[in-house]
Amino acid sequence: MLRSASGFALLSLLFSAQTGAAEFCGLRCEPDRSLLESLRSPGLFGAPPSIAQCGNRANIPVLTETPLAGGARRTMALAYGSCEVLKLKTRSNLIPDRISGTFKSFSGGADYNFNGVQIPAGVEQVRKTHPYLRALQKEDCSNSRECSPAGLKLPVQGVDPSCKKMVCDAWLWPSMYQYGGKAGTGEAVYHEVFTRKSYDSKTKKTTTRKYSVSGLDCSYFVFQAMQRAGLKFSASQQNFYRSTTYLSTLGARGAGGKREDCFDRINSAEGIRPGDLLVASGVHVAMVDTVGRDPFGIARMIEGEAAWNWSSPAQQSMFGEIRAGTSKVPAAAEHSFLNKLAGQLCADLDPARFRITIIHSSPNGNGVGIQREEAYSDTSYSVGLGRSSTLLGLLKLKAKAECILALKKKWESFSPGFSKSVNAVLEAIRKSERAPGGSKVLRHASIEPGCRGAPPIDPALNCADCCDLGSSYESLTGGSRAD
Amino acid sequence: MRIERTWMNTLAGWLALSTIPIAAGVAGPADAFDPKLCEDRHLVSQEMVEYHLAGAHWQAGVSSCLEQKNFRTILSGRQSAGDASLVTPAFIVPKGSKIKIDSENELEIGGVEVRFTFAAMRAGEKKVLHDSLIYLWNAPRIRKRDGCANIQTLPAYFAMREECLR
Repeated sequence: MLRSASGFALLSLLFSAQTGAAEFCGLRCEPDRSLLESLRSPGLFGAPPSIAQCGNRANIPVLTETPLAGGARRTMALAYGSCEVLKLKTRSNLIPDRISGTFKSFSGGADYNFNGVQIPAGVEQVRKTHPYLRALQKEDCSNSRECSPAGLKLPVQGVDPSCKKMVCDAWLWPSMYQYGGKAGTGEAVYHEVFTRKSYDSKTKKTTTRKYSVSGLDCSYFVFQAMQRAGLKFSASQQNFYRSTTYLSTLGARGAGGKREDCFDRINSAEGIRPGDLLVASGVHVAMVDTVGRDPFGIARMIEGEAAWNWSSPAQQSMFGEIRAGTSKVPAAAEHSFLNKLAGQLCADLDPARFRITIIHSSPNGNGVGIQREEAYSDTSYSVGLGRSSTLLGLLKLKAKAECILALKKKWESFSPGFSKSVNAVLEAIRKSERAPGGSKVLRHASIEPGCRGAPPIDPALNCADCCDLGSSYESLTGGSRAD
Repeated sequence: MRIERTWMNTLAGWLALSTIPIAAGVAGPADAFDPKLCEDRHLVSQEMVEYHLAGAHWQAGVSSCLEQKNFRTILSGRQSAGDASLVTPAFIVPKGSKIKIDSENELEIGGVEVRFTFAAMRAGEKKVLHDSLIYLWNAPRIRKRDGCANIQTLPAYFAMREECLR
């Protein structure tokens, strides 16, 4: 209860401090202040509701999501010190959509190498041009004042210091992508320091400046999301950080199909859900964030028969005969024909029609770090998984398998037995899905005994409990990929 | 160090070879990408290997070999923006070293597995490495936009050409 009361007080503090200057918004429950207003109502004011009760409000992800999706969103809110960040659209819809003011030469060693070579020209520049931090700067909040050296020293009655620290950390040490970065939000915040050396040819002097930000890489973001969701990697082991190489070993089954960890490897026909992990060993891990209607464009492809890419008029004619029930060929030949056609049509799925967003810590956008994006963009290579990334390949394979399965189900109505016939492409995809290592889709077995850990004990980690963690593809993207 | 285009262009006829001349290096005209070349599986395989060795998945620096002029079947430009973690090449492929394509197997999934052999240096020691990658064909209607193919499985070794390291 102490935590709850102090969290409420923090919120009050943040809302009450209005300076009129453009400042950064802190963690707050609802952008429209309706929760704040209800908390201030006379009936409640004497006994503010527990922040934990916010769980009864609209902050529970929809049932089709795994808890990991909520953990990722909570992590994002904590990293940016704002609930409102979860209401922003995908990064490419923000202005600016990338950090600017970067320079290429710097010194600091490989360990402090942000996004390879592009290092932000100072923390102030990051605050000004980081897509999320920039969007969160509002007229009516006062993080810079509250988080100033003087503001931090002010004793504020009832405010949980760790919760205030959380908000201020996000302001003072902005979250960005860094390979190997393990900046925490809450547990022993670890500020990465990088240095920039600049040489002035006129004075012949070298100046060294240091900058501090909270660097976070893709696998550490997943680790944090697991913690925030109270999930474990393995029922038999303590939770600790795991690299992408380790993540790619998860989802294995031992003797008798026995689960060896808390993840299931998701194969074709098992769909895709928010919270699923897309893992490429040693390369990258991203999380499915939202899944729209017809996520792979399969239904749209099937319904858009006029646009099918027939290999020949004879093929089109044959399909018409089979569908009309006038075909004279034996069932086996019919199935063979349909299987080939299904493989052909499903190879034609366009990732530009995917309605899937991902949440990950990525160097995209010049090192933005934690961000939500369309999984694929046909307009920019720096959005989502990239045109030639291994993880996009993983989604494309999954789309193809699900497409073939959908056609098998649909065409069964006019070609009995087709759904049970062997499709070589589908079998090959299933075989590749069973292969060890490589890229894979993982889903946390949240209901499995032992796979849920104790909730975080650090009160700072509960600062985002009032955030509305619900999200949808349409709200995040504006429904830009219409039928 | 940059590869001189003029020098690269003297390698006419390299397509007939079973080895790849050099670096990212199958350079053609300045704007070399041509979706019609997607039909040439061997060329796509070669370029997929070279694209990786040129540093397509390298995040710790900017390769000097990823210019579009160097690729005729791949649309370059840091396509793997989401692939974040290949930082330091474990092996360096010496300048001018050739890559041997050992086999190209069409896969039912709609892709090709390419096995290749190359010599590379690690800590001053030369090693001959055998590796493979898998790429998926892009549908013909999106090749102009996305290139001929999409990497599906990266090689096991992270090696880069010496001349591409900046």
